[in-house]
Amino acid sequence: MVDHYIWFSFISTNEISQTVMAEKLCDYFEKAELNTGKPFEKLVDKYFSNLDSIVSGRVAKTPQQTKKDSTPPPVPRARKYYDKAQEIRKRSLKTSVMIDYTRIMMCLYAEIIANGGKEIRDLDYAVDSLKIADIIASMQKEQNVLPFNVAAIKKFDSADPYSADVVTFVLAITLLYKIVDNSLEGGNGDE
Amino acid sequence: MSEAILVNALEQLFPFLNEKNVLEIAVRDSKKRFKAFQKVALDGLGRGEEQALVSKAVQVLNANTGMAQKSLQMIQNVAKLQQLGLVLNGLNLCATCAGFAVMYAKLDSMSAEINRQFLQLQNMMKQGHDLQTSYEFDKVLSEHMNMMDCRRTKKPYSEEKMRELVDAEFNVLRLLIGVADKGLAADRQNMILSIFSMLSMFTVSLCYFDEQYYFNNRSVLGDKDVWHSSHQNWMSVFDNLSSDWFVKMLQDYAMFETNLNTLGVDTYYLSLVEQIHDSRQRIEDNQKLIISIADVEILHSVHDTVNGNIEKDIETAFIEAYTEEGLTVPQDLLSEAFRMAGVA
Repeated sequence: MVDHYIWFSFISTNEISQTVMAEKLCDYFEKAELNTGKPFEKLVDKYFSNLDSIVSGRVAKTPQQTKKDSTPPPVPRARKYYDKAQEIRKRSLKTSVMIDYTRIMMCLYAEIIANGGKEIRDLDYAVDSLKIADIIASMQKEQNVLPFNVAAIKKFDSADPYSADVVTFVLAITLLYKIVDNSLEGGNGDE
Repeated sequence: MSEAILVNALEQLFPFLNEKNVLEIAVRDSKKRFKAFQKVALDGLGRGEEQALVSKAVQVLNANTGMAQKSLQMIQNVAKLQQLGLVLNGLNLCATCAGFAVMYAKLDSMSAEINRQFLQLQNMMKQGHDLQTSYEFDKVLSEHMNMMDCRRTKKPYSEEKMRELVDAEFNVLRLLIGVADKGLAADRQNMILSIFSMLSMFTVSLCYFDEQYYFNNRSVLGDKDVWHSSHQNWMSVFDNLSSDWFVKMLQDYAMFETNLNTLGVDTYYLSLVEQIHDSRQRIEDNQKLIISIADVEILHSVHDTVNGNIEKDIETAFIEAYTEEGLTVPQDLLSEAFRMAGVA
């Protein structure tokens, strides 16, 4: 993230500690707030909407129940997790809400990337499915779908470093690192 | 309109005759509308033949009028009949539609009712499965407790009985896993709990059985294939439990049926997966230990030392916890803990 979105003017890269980074991030968000004129909550909301826009179209939908089905058709596992994420989003804003929402949406997005951008039915919930570099690279390449084959523009406009879209990237990277760092050692140790 | 005239002789009406020499008088009804034209033939046109002709003409005119009226009446009747026919058809159609709608509504509600009953039946079947699995579970549980008790009283099970116990536990574990796989359990939390408790009982029994089997049969079997032939089969249950679908089931249960957040879900399913791994490791380590020590007396003393260490650890943990609060360690809780760890 350093040198792409955040710049340190007099500290060299290997001197950055967690407190330094935290302070720098605070400053960054303050500047972003002033630049976009939106409070932090709105920026977080825009981050949620951005994640939603890259995931929602590619999650398999529940098949419609026809008259001859005697029971409701099974819901695809990816759709269940997506619905749970939407439900989490509606809660009042706290760090845990941000982490939970990011975790589910990023796992869905990782599965979409692995599936070549096509619709997914299932997902890998384990933390080691989140490869941060791949996810961020893919997000940067996301393009808006425009009609009539007009030259596609990038979905997330990263020209202005304090715009809402770039804040999305900063938030995504921060939260992903937090999730991956917090991950528990477990499972089959000899794999 | 010309003004009214006074007439006292018929001849004064002659100018009002029409071309047929008939006087037409307009008759109004109560609402001042023209009801009819009354045709009047004036007498006095001449005697004899003319009169006869005129009276004939009048008769024919009357007959015509009568016929016209009759045909009008008939036409009116026919129209009425036609209308009646239409009305009847309409009523018929309505009746059919209404009948259809009623039948459709009935069928719909019937199919909703059938669906509901089907779901109820499914639920009952699941509960039935739950009852069956708890029955099997309880059977094996009591047998296992008996085995632990016999070890405590130094009257351990024979090799044959141990093998039966291990087999029974293995089969119940497979039953539980099968029920989980097919999604036939009504109460998932209970089912996951039973699988893991059965797994730990199975691990313990298998360790004991391996010991007994090895030392009883070492002289006959020599150095290869020292374990029971079903051992491989018994260990296959661990492969089943480590498979993708089981991990996904744990994740889904933790995510959707509890209030845990994503970190909690991680903790839950990873610690359970680790427990499966540990159980398998324990059996394999025990086997290696048995082979390397190769003497039953030494093995028992190794077990005693290990148990002694466990007792000490539990006691220290209790003492630490209780002295922090400023209380004394309750002995009954301590001995309960020992019993549960299987070291008493």
